[in-house]
Amino acid sequence: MIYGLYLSAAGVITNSYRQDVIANNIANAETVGFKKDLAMFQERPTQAQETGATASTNSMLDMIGGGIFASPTQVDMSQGEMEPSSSNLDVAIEGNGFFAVKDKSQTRLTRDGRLMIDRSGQLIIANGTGQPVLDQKGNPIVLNPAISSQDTTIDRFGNVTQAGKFVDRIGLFDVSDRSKLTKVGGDLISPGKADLIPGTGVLHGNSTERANVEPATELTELMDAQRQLEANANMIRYQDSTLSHAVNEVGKIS
Amino acid sequence: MAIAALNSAATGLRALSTRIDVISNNLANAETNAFKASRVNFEDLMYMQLRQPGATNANGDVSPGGICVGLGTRVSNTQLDLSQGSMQTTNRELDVGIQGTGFFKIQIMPTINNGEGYTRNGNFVLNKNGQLVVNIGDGYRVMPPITLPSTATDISIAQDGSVYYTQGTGTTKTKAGQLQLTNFANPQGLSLLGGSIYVQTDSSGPPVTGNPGDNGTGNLLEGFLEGSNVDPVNELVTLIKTQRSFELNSQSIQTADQALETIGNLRRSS
Repeated sequence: MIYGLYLSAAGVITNSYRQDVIANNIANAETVGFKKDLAMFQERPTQAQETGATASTNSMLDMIGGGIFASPTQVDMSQGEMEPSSSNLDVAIEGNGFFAVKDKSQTRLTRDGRLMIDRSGQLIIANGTGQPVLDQKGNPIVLNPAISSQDTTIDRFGNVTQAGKFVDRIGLFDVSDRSKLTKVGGDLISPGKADLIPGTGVLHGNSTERANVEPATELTELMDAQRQLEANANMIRYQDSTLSHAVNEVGKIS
Repeated sequence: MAIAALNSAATGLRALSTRIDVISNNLANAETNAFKASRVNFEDLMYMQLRQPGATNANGDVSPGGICVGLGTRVSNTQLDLSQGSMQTTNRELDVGIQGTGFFKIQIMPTINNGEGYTRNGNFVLNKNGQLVVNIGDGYRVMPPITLPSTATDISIAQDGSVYYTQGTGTTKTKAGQLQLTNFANPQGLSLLGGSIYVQTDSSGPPVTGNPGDNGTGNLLEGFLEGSNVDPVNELVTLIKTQRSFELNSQSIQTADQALETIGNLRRSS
């Protein structure tokens, strides 16, 4: 009886976690290059099954299952919509690949292609910190600071030209196993220990990639999470009242 | 436990309301000469790692990925849209539009950036001393200064920035001075002072000054004023998107609130 209470509690907790993930997706619906997270669940095996010590427990418990459990968060890497923009340093990736930036000593990946030129002429991404964008060889891209950013263009292969002269080529990178990617905030994704391979996408100038958050899907998920949470909460209440009967009514001496 | 959802949604509301402020300012300045629209950029906040990717369980299995919950969004910066505004004909001899990049350098209050300000507003007038000043605020002098005699008639400004005038009824043109244009490596890093005046910052890079047409700067067009580059349709579409996203975030708040209410009412005394 008590066992069921914990299963229902696990249902409440995982659905509350799901709400947290959806709320973050919705909050970032206007963040350029944002990829939504998917809260994933799995059936949890009982402790006895997990450790292989089934013999030592009540065999009936092995049949029930261990409730629900959050499994690793997946990132939905599907393409976001292209939105036209007026800045000639806004580029969006169509297809697979990421821009690489140097965040202190570490390489980070991003799909956010709103670029700027800093005062030393480095091409940086226009997030809060402004990390330098890397070229194909992994070096920062240095432009001539005397030429205005309005005379700088980026073509679909990432070639950066200033006043008609080729300067460098922006690198597009990817990883073979995307489940190893972790988001670190600031539009950046950490590749962890994964090796970078060349990305296959092409760039679109004067565009930004919108977040791939679909409001209808997110709201439906949110409603689903809320109702499942309530259903689990109700189960807790039923079990509580059954327990109450067992404790107070069954053993009543009249 | 649902509190993260509440906070994430609140960061969304805050960031989106900043965008509404910026759009409102853009729309309010849709008729301001040489006004440049701003846009708001968002970035996601840090992630809460509930389980690190690569963690090992009791069985020795390494988990293929981690469990992470994002904590919302924030405004990363506002970015100037420095695209050309439309040129409006005024036929006034002292109205000058910049076709291309560059800023006029003007003398502003000495307490700010050593008195060096920059503007694209070419609505010039003469002050009582015959100096060429920009018709914004208190009338800021053009740098380097250009002075015209009180007898000057038929003033003209050439594409390359040379300012000519003739004396009285004469026909010989005399050069009074040279209008210069300044460019920056990162003009989007300039700070905004209001009155369409920009000031150099650490992120804009040092000013590069020359005659119009040098250093990739544009040419001057006499008899024109550069209008605002605010595109009302674009701004309104963004405003609509912002409002809807705002409503969406309020839905997250309601759901999180109801979840907390459900949890709070779990134990009913019966």
